[in-house]
Amino acid sequence: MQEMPSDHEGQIAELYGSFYDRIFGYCAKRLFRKDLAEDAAAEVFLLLAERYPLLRHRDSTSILYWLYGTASNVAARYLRDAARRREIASALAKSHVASGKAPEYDRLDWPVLYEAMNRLSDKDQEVLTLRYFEGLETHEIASALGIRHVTARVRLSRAIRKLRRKVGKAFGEE
Amino acid sequence: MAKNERHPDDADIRLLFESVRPDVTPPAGSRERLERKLREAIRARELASAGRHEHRLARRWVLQGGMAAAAMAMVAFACWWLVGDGASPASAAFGEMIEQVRQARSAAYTLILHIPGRPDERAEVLMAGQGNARITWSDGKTEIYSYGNCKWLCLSPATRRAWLHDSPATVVFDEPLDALRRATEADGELVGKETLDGHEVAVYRVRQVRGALRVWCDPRDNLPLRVEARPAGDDGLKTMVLEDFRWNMVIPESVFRLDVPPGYALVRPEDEASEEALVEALRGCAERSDGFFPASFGRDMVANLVFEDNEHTQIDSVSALSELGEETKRFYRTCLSGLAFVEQVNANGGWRYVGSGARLGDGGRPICWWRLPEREMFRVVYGDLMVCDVPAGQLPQAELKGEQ
Repeated sequence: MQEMPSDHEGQIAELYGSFYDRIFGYCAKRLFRKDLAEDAAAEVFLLLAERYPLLRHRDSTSILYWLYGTASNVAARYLRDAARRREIASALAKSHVASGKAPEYDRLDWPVLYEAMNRLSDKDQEVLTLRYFEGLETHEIASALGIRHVTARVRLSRAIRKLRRKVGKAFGEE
Repeated sequence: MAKNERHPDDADIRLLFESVRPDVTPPAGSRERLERKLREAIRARELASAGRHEHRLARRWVLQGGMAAAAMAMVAFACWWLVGDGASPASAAFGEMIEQVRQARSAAYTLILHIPGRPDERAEVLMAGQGNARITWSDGKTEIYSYGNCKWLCLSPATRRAWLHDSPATVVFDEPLDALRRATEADGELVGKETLDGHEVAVYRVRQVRGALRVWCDPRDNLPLRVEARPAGDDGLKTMVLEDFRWNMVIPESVFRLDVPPGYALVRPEDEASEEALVEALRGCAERSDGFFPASFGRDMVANLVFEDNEHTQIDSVSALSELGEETKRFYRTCLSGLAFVEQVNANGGWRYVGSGARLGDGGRPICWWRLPEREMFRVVYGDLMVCDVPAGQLPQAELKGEQ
């Protein structure tokens, strides 16, 4: 007879131990501020606890994709919120003052890259962050975001082109 | 995560991202704070579940007629009603039913697929937990799904053949009962009472993203007697009925074993590998991608297409594969045979897929090629699925841009 695993709490704790830093990191890269990233990561893991009965048959890689996908949705919701956007803008302004030096094109500092990324759509930011910060392949991005592989590739190509334009403009290039 | 994939022309972007080093270490105490929240959330969930159990017990006492118990139950009910989640009695009863479904260890039922223009198909389904299912169709074909192992075994008694397939790990096990497990009290709406098998039963309509469910609930044990699922997006013509439920039966683990029974021949994809299988697989992939050849031709892409088909029909996994039935399964098997053929011809290199974005029927566009053994010739498949022998020097170099 098949038994339902009774130790969901233990399994969630294990997943949390393995993936919290990664999901927090992803949220921090999407939201710039650590306090917002902490709230967003908390939401993601609370959703994991809620949905775990449906996810428990997945392997850990698949659950990691699910966490990335959910974190993307939560981050996008935060970025649509005007008050949170103001908090991010204020943190960005402070970080420019603090760094006090002009970045070079091929050695950007984080706030400048974030600002350039921030001018892109949510979807573009998602694929760029997942690809270049989190190191996901395009088929993994497709799994995380619930889109087709070909869509992920096309979206990434377009996001790269747009980011080049934004970064180029930031340095006065045509 | 593997890091061997290079997106074309992204070296500068890669450099940009590598040059920044955002500090993304969680602040002190962050883990502990979330751990606390998680524990509280899990506890709250358990309490809510226990509360529903208490309420259920209270109702049983009332039915047994004990006045003191009834009074206590009424008080308990009133308290639960006042301080509870504010659900209406109808949604509370629905909540009890979904809780019972969640707690059920197993379910056996008869599945009837009604698709207009085709005779109804019937199957006997056994499910245990949320990870194992065995479906026996009226013609004797049997499918055993093990989502924990990401495997799927098909047995054909007529041909005494067996196929063992992988199913993608990213697919969530999902079928109408799972939709019920996932539902909340707010998703159910009491639409009336009906008499079924001589008993008056409550009928609920359940809102869900993938369509609508109608559930006939047995008041004696608060478990479904019948479920009718109408997937969204097909004008409501297609219906799946689950009936003749037997809940919490003891089902031996052996019925979900993925062993090939004695007397059956296991058919491996490589046994059916052929050029024809590859061509048919390419045709199927292009037809399922709006008439264009996919970006790549591999196991992941095929799995995505097969399971995307399920999304299109708005039913997942077991029910979708059952319903899509022979056509999808045949496509999947053809693809596996086609992929096995690719492995064979690529044993010493020479396989190329360049069909990304090509239109099905475009006779001027090569889709893939492979080297013919011991000859300086290549077999080339074109967009119209013609296959020709081409000397090495005449391979279409200009098309290599889309090469995988």
